[in-house]
Amino acid sequence: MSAIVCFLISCYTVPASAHGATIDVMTLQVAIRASFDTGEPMAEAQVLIYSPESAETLWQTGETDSNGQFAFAPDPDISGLWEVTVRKAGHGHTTTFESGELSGQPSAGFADGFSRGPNSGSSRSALAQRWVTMAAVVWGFVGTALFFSRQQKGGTP
Amino acid sequence: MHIPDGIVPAQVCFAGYGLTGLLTFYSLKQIDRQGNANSNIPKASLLTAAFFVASSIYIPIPPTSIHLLLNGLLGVVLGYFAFPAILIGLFFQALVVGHGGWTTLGVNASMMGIPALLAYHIFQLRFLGNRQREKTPFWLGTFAFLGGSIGLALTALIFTGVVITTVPAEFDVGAEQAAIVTLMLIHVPLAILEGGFTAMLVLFLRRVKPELLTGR
Repeated sequence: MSAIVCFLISCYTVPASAHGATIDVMTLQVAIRASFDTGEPMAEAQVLIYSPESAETLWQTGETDSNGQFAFAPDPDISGLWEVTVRKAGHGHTTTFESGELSGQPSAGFADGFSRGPNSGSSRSALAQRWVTMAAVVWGFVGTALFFSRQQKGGTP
Repeated sequence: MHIPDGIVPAQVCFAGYGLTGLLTFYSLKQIDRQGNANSNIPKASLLTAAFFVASSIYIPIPPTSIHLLLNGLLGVVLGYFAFPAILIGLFFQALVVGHGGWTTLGVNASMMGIPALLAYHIFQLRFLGNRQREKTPFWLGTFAFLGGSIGLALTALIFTGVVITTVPAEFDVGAEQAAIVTLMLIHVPLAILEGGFTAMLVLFLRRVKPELLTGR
């Protein structure tokens, strides 16, 4: 099984009021969704996050929920490439995103706002292409078998 | 049951490639020694195709789903051809399906190829002792079952050993090891299933084309 990690970058406000005063809090959040290539979510997988400041020191750790999702709020003052690693039972994936992508707009790609991270597995739109390629490879093996069986029957081809 | 890129350290990847190189050389040498290699290529090619496709066939075994492997079956039916067949199949799985990885191709080939060679030798045990035993469908099926199931079970054990001992310290090692052991246990029913399938295939070949079965 190979693993796929998708991102959802969202920006939302949390109003809080007391005695007529209102405070709007804006939280910039990144959500990841990890799944196997079968579409099965990587539930309760471990998540490691490295900030652009250091690829050696862990910035945050966590665990995906039953849907393979995990959300965190990167420090907006740290710009650069963030690295997210998800792992479960010897299977996993590492992907990255630019802090410049934290524009406050949900990213495009999937209907629910998630987008495929770099180096992740093939998208569902490429599924047909994958099956065609698999069929071509299988036909290559069958062709090899036919070639050599013909050689046996009739001497040299 | 494929180790993807980035899961094991570089030293393990290098060792995997080294071991795979040696075993490929040894297997090709044995194939050459047995002679008449061309006659076995059609069989090896078709089973390489089956091995390549098998990793895309998932069987739901709660709490997850696992895919077929067929390395034990390849060992039983192909003999020493199994190792290069598995190496080629894994190459195309990494290229087309994304199973495994380029850095771990050697580790995966050794992890699945060594049990395949062992499965071949288990199947050859039918020639030991009683001469009539090799001709009995019961014993033929039994040794094929043992080869097919032990081939997969050993692969699961090697996977567990390699991955469980190389969990990076940044992770919760205990939780990861527990998840790996759970995955290994889930492969027990698959080992029985593949053993049964191997036995059925061997008994079928015995009836329709016995010369395809490896051995004396």
